[in-house]
Amino acid sequence: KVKKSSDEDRISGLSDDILSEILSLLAIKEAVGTCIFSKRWRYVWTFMHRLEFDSFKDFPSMKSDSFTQMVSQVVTLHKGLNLHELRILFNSHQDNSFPHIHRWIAFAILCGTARIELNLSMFRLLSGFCGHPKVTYAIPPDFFDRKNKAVDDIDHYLKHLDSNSAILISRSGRHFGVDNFFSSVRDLSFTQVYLNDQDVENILSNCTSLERLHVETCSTLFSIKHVYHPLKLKCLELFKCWSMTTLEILAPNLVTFGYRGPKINIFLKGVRHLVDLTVTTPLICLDYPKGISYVLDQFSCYFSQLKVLQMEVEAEKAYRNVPELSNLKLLMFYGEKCSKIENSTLIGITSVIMASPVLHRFELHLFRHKPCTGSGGKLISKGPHKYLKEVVLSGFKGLPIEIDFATYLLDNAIALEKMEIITSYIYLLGRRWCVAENNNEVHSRKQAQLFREGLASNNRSKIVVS
Amino acid sequence: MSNTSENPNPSSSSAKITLKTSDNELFEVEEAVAMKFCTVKQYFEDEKDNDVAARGSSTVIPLPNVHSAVLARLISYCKKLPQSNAVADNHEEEETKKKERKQYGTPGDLVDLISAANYLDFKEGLEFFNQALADHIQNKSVEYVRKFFGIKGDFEPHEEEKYREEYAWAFEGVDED
Repeated sequence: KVKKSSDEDRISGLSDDILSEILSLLAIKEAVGTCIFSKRWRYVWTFMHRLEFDSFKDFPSMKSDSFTQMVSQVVTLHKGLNLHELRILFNSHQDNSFPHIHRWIAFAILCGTARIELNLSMFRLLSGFCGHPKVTYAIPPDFFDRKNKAVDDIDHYLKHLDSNSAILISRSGRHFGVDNFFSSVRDLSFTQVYLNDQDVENILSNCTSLERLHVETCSTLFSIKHVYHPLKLKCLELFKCWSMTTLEILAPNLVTFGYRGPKINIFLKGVRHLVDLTVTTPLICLDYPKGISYVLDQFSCYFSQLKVLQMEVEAEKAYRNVPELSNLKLLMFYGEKCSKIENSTLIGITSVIMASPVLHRFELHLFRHKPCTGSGGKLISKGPHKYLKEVVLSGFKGLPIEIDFATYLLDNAIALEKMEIITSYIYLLGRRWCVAENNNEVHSRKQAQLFREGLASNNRSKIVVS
Repeated sequence: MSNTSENPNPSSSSAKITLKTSDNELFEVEEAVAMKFCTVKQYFEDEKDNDVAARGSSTVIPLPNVHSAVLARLISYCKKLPQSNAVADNHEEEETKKKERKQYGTPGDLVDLISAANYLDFKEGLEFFNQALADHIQNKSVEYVRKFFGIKGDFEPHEEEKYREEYAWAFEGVDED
């Protein structure tokens, strides 16, 4: 029989490895808080495999100095064994925290951490914008360059740490030769961190196992060119790198590519398996030329293999001659820049839906669009869509033109199971979805409800208003 | 696809594997279930290399670290394994999963299940039971956790006070329930 004694302490008999895995499921403060359970638990958290410090989620009222001290304390005491993941998200932009940040990254690299994320974005509050940083953290020069004695540099950044790290350094000397120093890094993500062309080149050539690179809100990056050695990269995301002019990489394994920013020349070489493409225009790029034509020009050779496509809403003529998206399952349109939705716009969108015969889910996210008068003619059906099951329409105001579009989808998507109508504005911040209040939400919701009530019962049951 | 234990290969769909527990009980389980346990899978593959596979289902795989009562629960969990272990994407789903995890009752049971899942290298099971255990630490007071798991607080009061001060941030504003 299994013992079922309630006063016998069985949990403390589990190995450090299992216990630390369990602690990794808790928020960092709770995981560290277990140190006072008993002497057995004193150091269990120092073996955790994942460390996540999210100031917004877990420490909303902590001052940035205290946050910095806390992360450094944890990094100093952590044993650095099998640390798979280090994620730090906070919005301090005081230069006295910068030496700390250097050390955190150095620590992660020394530990052979596979996934490193540093997000210093100021845009993380739901209300959106909350000010420009006065100073922006930059990766130390040559930090990722092993040829330039990066190991010594890291050593230098760690020298203020206590004996734990000294052990770490001696261990790293044994386990990681200088040559494969960065080879454990598989996933790097930097947001609101200044990287220059040389930094990215160092990362691409030295992090030889790198599978994902995410760079967001970085205006010091101009050009990425890496065409002589094939990269292992499966996912590359460059969001809001305002100064970018050229991207040229040899990445035969690339599956996911995301770009948000000004028009640049993109040359993806040797890419054969691209299935997930995001190209959108941030609100701020007002002089952006016709987005969709630009997507078509640069990526049309991949259209037949794409499974996921996210792009901007544009005027109808931009969508003419859309090549067939014969494998597309998910299509998302963003209307951040589109201040007016016209009938021609919707004709364009429906033609992309119709060019995607196996589409499963469609999303349209409108953003602060102005009402335009009249519906301007009905959408003409080009035959039923057989596979479309889920539709999401956000930023819905109940304008006649939106009602027409929803009706068109209900009439033509014969396999439709669910249509979600959201009256708030939803927009993308990097990979994150954000919600902004629609200041006339009560009215919008009422319109959406009225639309729902007016439908036949079979269609009414498919609609969810939120 | 609702039946996850269904073997896609019809010729071996009825194949059974016999497992022997620490208390010498024999369990005859479907191959698809047994293969979720990487330790068993590994044993099977090693045996194949030694050309003992000819004996087929007559091979008995000993599991000296697993008690029959625990193995029975693991197998029953395995059979109703959800299709994907994807993170619940809404609050309701998360609550359902939490309730499901609560069924695995006493701390002793959970520890046995975790140890066995770890020994058997049963990834989905280990994740599930680890989370079930973490549920009993999350948003709980130190006193609750000690009492629930029978952990004896063996720090001197001044020691505990010292750690509470050292990691003061870890004890601020935790919502206990």
